[in-house]
Parts: sequence; structure tokens; C-alpha cells
Amino acid sequence: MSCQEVLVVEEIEPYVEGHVKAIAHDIGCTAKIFGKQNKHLSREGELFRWQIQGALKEFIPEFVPKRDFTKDKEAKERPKKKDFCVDCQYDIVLDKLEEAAESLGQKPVLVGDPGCLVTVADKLDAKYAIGSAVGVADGLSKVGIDERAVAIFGDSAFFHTSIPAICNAVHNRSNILMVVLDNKASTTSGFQPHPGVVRDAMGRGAPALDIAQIAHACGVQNVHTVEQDDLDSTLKETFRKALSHPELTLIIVRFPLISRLE
Amino acid sequence: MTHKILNGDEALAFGGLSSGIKLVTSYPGSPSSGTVETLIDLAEKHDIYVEWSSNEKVAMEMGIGASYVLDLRIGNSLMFLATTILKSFVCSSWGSFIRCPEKSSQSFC
Repeated sequence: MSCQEVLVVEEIEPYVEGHVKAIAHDIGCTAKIFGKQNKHLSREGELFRWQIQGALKEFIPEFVPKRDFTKDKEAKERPKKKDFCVDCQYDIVLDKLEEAAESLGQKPVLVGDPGCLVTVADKLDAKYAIGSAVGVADGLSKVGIDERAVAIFGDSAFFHTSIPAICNAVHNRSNILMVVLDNKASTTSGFQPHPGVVRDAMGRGAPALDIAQIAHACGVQNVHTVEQDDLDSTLKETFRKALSHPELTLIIVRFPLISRLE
Repeated sequence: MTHKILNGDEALAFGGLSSGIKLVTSYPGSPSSGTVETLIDLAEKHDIYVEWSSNEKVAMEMGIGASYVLDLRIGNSLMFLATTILKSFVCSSWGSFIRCPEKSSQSFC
């Protein structure tokens, strides 16, 4: 028995969907394949349970969910912060940035990366892929938005693919503000090391690369580092200064206490 | 006969080991991280090289490089590559780069 209709439910791009279509075509299967390409599921945003439920209802008319998931309830149903997330102070950083911007009458456009920034995702204006924040923010800034574009990303994302975007931003005279939240590990996925930490995958000692030095070497003129202990005293003023000068700036906020790799 | 209960991540790791992998390169991100974490624990015992690479591109290219070993007849290497694309999509390629294209292998040799 072959099926007549297929619904592909997958995160991010319709990758499996495209391949299923290609295979179906090659073997002469005429089943209809639904998913993100024909807008059965949204290509933007996270794939929440209410969206999956909606797609299933549309796909199988007799489908009755055991529990009703709705868009407005989804945020409340997210798990509470636990384990290492309890000590996370990323929301304080975002608050300080907001306070600094407010005191200047600004409302910057905040572009984030996946990873630990999901804890403050509701405060971001856009999020794409790991290492994309600098490029996305720079692209926004180049099409004439009035507000300052701010790229916020982690230390792992810095080494991942942010460095080429920073070189590009320097060379093409970008004026975005870049904020690196440095917790010295790829924390969300389980404290894996990256080139900026002192241990490698096997737990052996390894040379750690310095984010500020690399940013300088890439040609960023304004590089500032704020330590976790100085969030209250220094961070807001550092943001204020950076937001008042429309020059390419990189601010590193260091959270060494969270890391298990130091 | 001994039995071991494995989750999917671990099964992938043991499958890779029994197929003779020599190199594991990956960028962390669920759900593939568990496979690499399992292989880190077994690396010494099975004499394989494991690293967390700085991104997926580097991880994949190291895998491609390692796969050239077969063409260069240096050793009997199989390549295992687990890489995470866009943070949550697992792309596992089993020995798909064992042979490099004829042309490039000639110039390489």
C-alpha cells in the first residue's frame, strides 16, 4: 500500500521535504508532499507545538489532539531555568543595554544568534543562525534603518563564523555595535570547548585565543571588555558611550564564573 | 553475548567505531552532540582522533582531508563525520567522502 499524502514536519529549512520530493519524483511516486514549501508550516520562527497541532489538524481532518496547544500559552509552558542557567545574567546585560538606549532616546535593533541567547529571545528583534548576528545586523544597517543595529552573540559564535563578518564590517565601514557574551564555552549544547578556552575536546590543556586581540587584529578600533563583577557599575556606561558614537564597536562581557572549562 | 542499551546518539557512535572510523570532527549542537561526547570517552581505547571544531565548515573539510588518506594509500581510513548545520539539524555522512574525484586525486598524488 502506498500513501497518497505525506506531511513533513521539520525544524529550520525544508531540507528533508525537498529530498523526499526528489526521491518521490525519481521513483514515479505521485503522492502529494506537504510541509514548509507549500506553507503548511511556517518557514519563520520556532516550530512550536501549536503549529504542529495546526498542521496535523489541517492534514488529518479527523485528528483530535489530546491536549490543546495555543500560541498565547506556549511562552508560559516553556521549562523554567534550572542547573547552570540559574546563574545566567544575560537578561541583566540586555536590561542595561535597554536602559542605556532609553537614556539616549534610542531604540536599537537587536540581532541575536541561537545558543544561550534563547533565554532572552523575547527581547531580540531578529535571530538567524550561529555566527550570523554581525552579518544580519550589518545588512540591516546598510538599508537605511534610523536606529543603531546591535549584534549580540556568544564566544563560541565568535570563533564559529563571526570573525569573517567582523573583517567584512571593518572593511566596508560598518557602524554597528557588537556585543560578545563570553561565558567561555559552547554552553547551551553542554559546555563543549572552542578555540577561546584552555581545554580541548579530550580535556587536555590547549592554547586559548583572545577575543579582544582578534577583534583588534581584524581592525575594530573600539574594543571594550566588561567583567561579570562590573555589570552594575560599568556596563550601562560602556553601552551609553558606544551608542552615542556611531562607530564600529565591540564590547565583550565576560562571564568566566559560568564556565566549567576554565 | 553481552547486551548494552544504547540511545540513538550512542548507537551512531558505536556504529561508527565498528565501521573503522579514524577521525571525528564536529561543531556542538543538539541532537548530535551526544554522539561525539560518546566517542570522546572511547577515543583513547579505540585510537581515534576526536575534536570539537570551530565550525561545521572546518569540521567537514577536515573530514574530506582525512578521506584523501585512502587515495594516498597511507592507511586504511574510513571517515565518519557528524556535523550540525544551523544548530539543530544533524547531518551524518558515513564514508561518503572515502574517494575523492578522479581528477583531484591525480593532482593530489
